Amino acid sequence: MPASPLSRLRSARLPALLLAAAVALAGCGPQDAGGATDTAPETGDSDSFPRVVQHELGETTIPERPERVVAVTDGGELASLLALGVEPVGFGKRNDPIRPWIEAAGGAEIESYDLAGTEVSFERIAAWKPDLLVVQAGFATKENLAQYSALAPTVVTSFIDWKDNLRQVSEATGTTEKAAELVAENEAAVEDAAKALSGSKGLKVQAITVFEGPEIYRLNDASPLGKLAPSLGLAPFPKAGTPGEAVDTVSLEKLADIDADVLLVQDFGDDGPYRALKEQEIWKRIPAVKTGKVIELSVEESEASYFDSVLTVPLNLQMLQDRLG
Amino acid sequence: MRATAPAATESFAAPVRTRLPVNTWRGRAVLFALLSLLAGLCALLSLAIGAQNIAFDEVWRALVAPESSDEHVIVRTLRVPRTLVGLAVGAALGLAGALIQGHTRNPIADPGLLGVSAGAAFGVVLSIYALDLRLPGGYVWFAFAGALAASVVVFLLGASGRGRSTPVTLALAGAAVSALLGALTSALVLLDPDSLDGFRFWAAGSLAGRGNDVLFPLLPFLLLGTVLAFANAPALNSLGLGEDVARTLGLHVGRARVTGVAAVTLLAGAAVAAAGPIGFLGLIVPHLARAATGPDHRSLLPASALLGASVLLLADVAGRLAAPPGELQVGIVLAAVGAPFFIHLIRRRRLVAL
Repeated sequence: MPASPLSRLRSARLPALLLAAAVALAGCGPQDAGGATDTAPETGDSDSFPRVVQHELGETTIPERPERVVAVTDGGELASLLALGVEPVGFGKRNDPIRPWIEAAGGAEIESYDLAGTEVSFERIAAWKPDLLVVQAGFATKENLAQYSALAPTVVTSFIDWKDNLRQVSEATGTTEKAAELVAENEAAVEDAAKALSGSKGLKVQAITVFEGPEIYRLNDASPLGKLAPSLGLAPFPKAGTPGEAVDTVSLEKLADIDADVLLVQDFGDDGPYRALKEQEIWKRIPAVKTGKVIELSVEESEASYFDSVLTVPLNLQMLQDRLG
Repeated sequence: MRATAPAATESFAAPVRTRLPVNTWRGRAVLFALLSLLAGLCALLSLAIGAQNIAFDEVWRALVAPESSDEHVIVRTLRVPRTLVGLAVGAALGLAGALIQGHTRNPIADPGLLGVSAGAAFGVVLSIYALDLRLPGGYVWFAFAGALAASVVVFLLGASGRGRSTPVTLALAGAAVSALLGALTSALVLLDPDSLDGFRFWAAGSLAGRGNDVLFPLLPFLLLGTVLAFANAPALNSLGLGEDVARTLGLHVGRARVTGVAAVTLLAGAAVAAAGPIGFLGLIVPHLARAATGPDHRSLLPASALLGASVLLLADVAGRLAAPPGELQVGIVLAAVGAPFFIHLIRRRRLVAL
């Protein structure tokens, strides 16, 4: 028997109701029960469910306002969740200790499991009974996306652009209004920083990382600092050599060609290779080294300037003002 | 029938046809003059070509009348040490490859067969993991010690069976020890992935950033290994006829084997300590050399050394140009070029029976 439009509507609504009941039963912890009843009536038109979210690996339909979000990875997506006021039920911890800006946003109180150097544990994720997964592109691929989707609707977030990341996470969690506020706040902070740095118009700033090996790594125009530079009136960073990569390698032979008025050197807690490079004669040929305009960033500053997220933009602006102002 | 008959005679009488009359001393002199010229040319290329474009006359001036310009600093402090390391490591791996193929009479043996590479890798990982060492200069002795230790264990295991140590028991012991060390290395790397970036770079094999500070301490071992290798050449020729025949010719087989294994260990161990595990070179170079010299190890060994140095430097130069403004590590270049080349070698002429 062909279904009438009415019965189709009803049959679509029935599982949704059942699902909502199941979610309410499953999430009967004290904080979840409150959340479920509070948020439902507030849902405006712009953040209504079910909805379709465009993300890095296509589109995903989210049937209900998610109540149990799991951040599979602790990159920009965890920062976006916390900034949006959506507390995830758990996340995969790749950075131990957790990044300071994640801790400041309450990340330390959230359950997590150790994801450093291991594979994503689908069992751990399933045990949290998620109704939404957010996962950084790269951890979710075309090949394994189905594995995530089998547990819950999955949104794959941008690794390289905090605004995309925030849009994807806010649309999936129904918090687009808050997201717009956050973007506006960050944009205002950029304008303030641009004013504070008005004395440094056209200043050529570059940032490098020294790891083991015959090359150094240079942040390009897709990196967090590279994206901020033009709006701050600084000279543009070098063009990205590979699309989607925030750093490019530079041979030691090319060091003397680094055309920067100020050279920021990142430190990720192991400055051995950097100390060894400083001994080499070629290092002393870099123009910024000759003029003494090398700034060695702290580990915290380095982490933030390598990490694009809604929470690190203000930190990076502050760092640039402190260091260049 | 007609197709197989000549092949059969060829493998019986002369495993490899040689184009040059290397059985005369004049022929040998011409061959080694050519090979030395090739190695010299590759060294010049390595000095002249790099990520930074430097005119050839400027390179020359940097060598004979150094100033303090950017170009001269690049040539003197980056390219010269790198070229020296390349020459030494390439020659050592070429020699070690020819030795191990000669001793095992196995055309696909490479210096890693004795567990040298796996031992060095384990030594490096252990030093980073236990002592928190992070500089290439610091790895050298741990890599070298690991290579020596692994090789000694392999030799003792290979010799401890009921019979004498034979190439087959050596190869089996080498495979077992390599597998064990590889597993231990992976275990440590997985335990502490963050602190092992240095190992990952080391494990790819590179000449860049390894300078005189790495080369000079290892030089005595390389020289000793080279002397032992050349001293081993006549014995290898006899062993090529089979152990029993060699014995009736008056050869002390056990002593010859120990000398060979010691030379391979010193050469390959020092090479891997200086530049990391560089694959394929020790496998391919002896085949190239054999095509020019024939099976006589008195010619084959020095030819392998010269060709090893040439090939490694050429691959390194290619790596410098492959990914501007960065570079490709020479171990990766050799892996990418070496595998297809080896297949070509096998398909073009039947692999020589050793």
